[in-house]
Amino acid sequence: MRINVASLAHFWRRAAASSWLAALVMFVFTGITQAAETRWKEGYIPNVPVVTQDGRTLLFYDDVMKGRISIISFIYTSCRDICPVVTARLSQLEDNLGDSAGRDYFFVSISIDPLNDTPDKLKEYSKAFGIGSRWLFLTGKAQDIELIRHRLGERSRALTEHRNEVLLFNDVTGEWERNSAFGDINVLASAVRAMDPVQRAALRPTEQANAGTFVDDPLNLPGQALFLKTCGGCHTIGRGNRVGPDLQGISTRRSRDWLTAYIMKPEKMRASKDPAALALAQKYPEVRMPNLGLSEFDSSDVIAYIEAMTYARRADESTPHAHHHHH
Amino acid sequence: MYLSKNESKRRLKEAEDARANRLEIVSALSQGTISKRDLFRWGLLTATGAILAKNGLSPFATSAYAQVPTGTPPSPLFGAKKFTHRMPRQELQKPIPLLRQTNGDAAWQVAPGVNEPAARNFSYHTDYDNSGRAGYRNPVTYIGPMEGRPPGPLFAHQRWEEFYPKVGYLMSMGQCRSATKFCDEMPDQNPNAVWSFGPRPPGMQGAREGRRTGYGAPCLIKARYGEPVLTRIYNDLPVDRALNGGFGRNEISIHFHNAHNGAESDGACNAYHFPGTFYDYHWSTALARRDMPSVWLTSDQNHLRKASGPDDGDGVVPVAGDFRELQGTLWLHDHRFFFTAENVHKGMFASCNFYSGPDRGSDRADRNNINLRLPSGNRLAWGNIDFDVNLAITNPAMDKDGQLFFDIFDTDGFVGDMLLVNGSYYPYFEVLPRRYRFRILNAAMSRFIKLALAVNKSLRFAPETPVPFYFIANDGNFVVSPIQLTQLDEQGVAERYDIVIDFSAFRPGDSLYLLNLLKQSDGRKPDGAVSLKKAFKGEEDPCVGPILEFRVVYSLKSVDDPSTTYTAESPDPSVDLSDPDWKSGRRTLTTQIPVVAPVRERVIEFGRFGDGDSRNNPEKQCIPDCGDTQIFPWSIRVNGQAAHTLNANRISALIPKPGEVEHWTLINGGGGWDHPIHLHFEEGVTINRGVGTIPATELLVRKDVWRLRPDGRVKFQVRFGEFGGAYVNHCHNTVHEDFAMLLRYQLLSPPPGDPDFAKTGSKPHYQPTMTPLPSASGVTWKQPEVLPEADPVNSRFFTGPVSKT
Repeated sequence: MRINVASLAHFWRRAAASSWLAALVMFVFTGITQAAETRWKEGYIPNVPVVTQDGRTLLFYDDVMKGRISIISFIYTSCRDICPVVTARLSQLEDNLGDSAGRDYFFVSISIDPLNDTPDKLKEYSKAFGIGSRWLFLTGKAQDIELIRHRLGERSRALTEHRNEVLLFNDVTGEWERNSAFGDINVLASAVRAMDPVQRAALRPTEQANAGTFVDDPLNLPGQALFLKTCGGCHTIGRGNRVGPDLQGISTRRSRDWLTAYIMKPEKMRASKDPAALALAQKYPEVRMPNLGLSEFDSSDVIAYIEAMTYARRADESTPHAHHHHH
Repeated sequence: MYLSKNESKRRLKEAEDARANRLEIVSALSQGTISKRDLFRWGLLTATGAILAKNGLSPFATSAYAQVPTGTPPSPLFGAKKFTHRMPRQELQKPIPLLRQTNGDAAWQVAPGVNEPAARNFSYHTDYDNSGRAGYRNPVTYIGPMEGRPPGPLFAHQRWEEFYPKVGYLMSMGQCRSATKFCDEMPDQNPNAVWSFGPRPPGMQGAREGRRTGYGAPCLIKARYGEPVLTRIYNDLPVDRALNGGFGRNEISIHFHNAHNGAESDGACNAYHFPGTFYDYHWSTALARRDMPSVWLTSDQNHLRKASGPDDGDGVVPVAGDFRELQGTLWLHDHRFFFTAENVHKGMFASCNFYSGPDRGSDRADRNNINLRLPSGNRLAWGNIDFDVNLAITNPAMDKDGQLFFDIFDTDGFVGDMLLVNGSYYPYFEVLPRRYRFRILNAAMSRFIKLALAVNKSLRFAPETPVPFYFIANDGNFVVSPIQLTQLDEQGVAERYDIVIDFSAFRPGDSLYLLNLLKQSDGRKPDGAVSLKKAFKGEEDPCVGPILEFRVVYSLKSVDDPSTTYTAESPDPSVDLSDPDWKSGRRTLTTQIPVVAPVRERVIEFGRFGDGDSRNNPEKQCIPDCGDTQIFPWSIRVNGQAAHTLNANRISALIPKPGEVEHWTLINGGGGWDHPIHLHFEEGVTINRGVGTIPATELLVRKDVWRLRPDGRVKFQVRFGEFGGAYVNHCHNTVHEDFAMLLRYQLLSPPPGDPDFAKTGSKPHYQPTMTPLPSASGVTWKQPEVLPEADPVNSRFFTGPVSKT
């Protein structure tokens, strides 16, 4: 018996038009996720107006949250310490998610200081992190923002006590999850992908299980973990300026005492009108070097790590075979 | 947080109306019976579409900026009356014998033909990997391994042969069984409103939609030293994680708080497993200091007999270890990272009592005369619970349909508006006029309690007369001498207090109340205790006042042996703690572990502020707020190093050598909050609270949870040993814990070449180990980040030989 292609196509066209069959197809293809029982979605999420960094007014539920998987953080641009690190690390997450960021997963940073954070300020702030307009930075009327942040659990009494966790939300399934930007970015990216039931069903281990392995990273210098966690969101070593300057060879440009003092107490250096600190503040006006609470030991570990990586990169560059530069 | 009953009627009505209106409008909109245009016409929708900020639609609409609004109306009671329901006992679980197979597996002794995979040393995940992921698959989803325990030697059961399991428990974490309710008047809970433990029939098939195997109320497991246990916990929750009734995550990790087990069986927050899979926990019943005979109390001629478990007659089975480390009242609960609060609130906890030679759960003298004969009963050789009663206190709230409710956005710590005892709404419990032991567990998430005992009505005593009782154990550890009280100290989340009440001065018909004196309106800290008199009258906080009624009766049926009925005249052979020998110290419950000079001191600060300008800027002249004060939330400092936000992949403290004495100081740098901090795996001898007062129930007493108090601190002595791997130290306000208020520490076992290397069998754990990353399709591994102060080769913190090769 020959298959009549035309009638098959006709069948599928009819099938698509038939709502019950479409629903069935959807059911099969969405990983058998039923409607969630959750109360924390439409009707809970305030549908108040918010303004983006581009000056567009959107409704928070209808235009921002509805039907999407969102990665939500709370920020304020005058925050000099930990919040820029959160945004910087989330921008690493955005890189990690690649093309799916802004297509399948949407970044939303909500200012909790709407009186001061105008759309223009948010625009400058986002640009400092190299963030485009797909990632929404939102402000709005104080009472509307207050309602949003209360509803989403950001209930701190003072700006400086605000929460630095990341909220993950899938409006289709109604699932919420809290996570931390200070964990491993790959792990966070998996958690984001797992917010999508289809992705979740398709997720497979990406690495072979290597049980029995000890901690045995030859590059696991004392400062590495600190660098990756607290510095790497904003700085590279030999890969160019990011939110702040490239740190390759920094210890040949600055004295060790200066570096230690600046790593530990950058705000004190600026307050005491240290010329180099002020020059940096001028060159990178939106996101100043924050106080990360690092001790003297920590900063010497970080400097040692930067020196080691600088040395490694230079050695790498001076060995043409390393890059197979055959002409 | 809740709206109190004294809130204006109008305000309460508003809040409830708002909730109802919102739901109605949302449902009407979704069904198409009204349109947004209608809402706009009715004035419920602003031009910008902001329906929710309107008064009458949002419980928060009237709140001003920075004012703390409350969101949850009082739980509906459906006409329930206090003290009209009998308190249920915690459901006693039945062990299943395990039989050693020639390949070393432990086979479940169940009916022939029932297919329940044998328990084995290495996880079935290993077999799954070795089969090319073709065999040993999750029998419900067919994706991933059937066991969630990570594969390979890191998560193999430590000291498996030495503590070969003799009995097993097959448990399910499932949806609540039908007709689960908190009292007769209240509605049945939906299957996904309450998730809890229940026994699992051997060989039962799981189901994608979940199985209703959960009790909906706490269970009790009786374990004894010398009889290692294998507990298999199946995840029988719905595969679709969105089906959670509004809160809770279907991925679970069951932490045995605070038993002395290998890290693979600790229930680590990052070793959770998925629906359809099981996880085998090896409860070794190891007695601490097993590997350190040098510290055993050899001056006590009975020390070897006291370090023991009860046998099935009137003798004991000696076990190696220090009897001063014996534990009693323990519990187990979910520990899934970021979801612990929701899951424990949903019902994921159970009790476990450890029985030992001195504390065998029998009031009859044993052959060696080491049994303390605490009130319990004697129908069984050990583990009698006729007069030894577990009380688990929880703090739920209900939505307007009477379903269990949790505000997942109450990030200060969700505080409910009623107290349940053993899952029952303000019950009564019938007692005989004799001595009873009660094991009281605070299983709430964020609410602290402070309990008192007083007369309700009596022929002999005036109402509200305080009634004395004896405090005998803190967090499952005996105090040296019983302490007479009429009120307990505050009891934070996860703390266990054992008390002995003597009802013999009362007569059938008399009644007593156990009352909560402590007010609390949000999760940050309690608001202070009220007087007994005020508690009797009732307070604004609906949880203040009587929570359990003791009704003295003439006769009672035994639960240990239902063929027995006791009467008020039945003899009470249990120990009388009012005997002067106890007061004089001639008789003691245990012996003090001395505080000695430590090998190492660690100072750990749970704080919200770092080294920024926050403390040096009292003027606060910036508008609206100073920018220079934001730091890592819930940071922890180790050895005075910088504050770090922690995650389970970070090893921030490390114990390089088993048996070394350390002194730890925990500081609450977070100001006005209170945090119950829990140290996994080992107990600490509480040394002091800095300048703060320390109650007799804590001073030099072993504990595993300490309330730090607002701006407070606590110092304790601890020694680690016997097992290795990654454990944690964290805040047990389970809401705070979920926000990374958690520190991972790594225990190192003896390295190759050490005489104890072969003996302990904890072989892979002599070096820092990989961190497992669970997923439904199997576990992958991640290199942990080792902080400088935790690096064993870092001579700044670790002197002497270390085990890194």
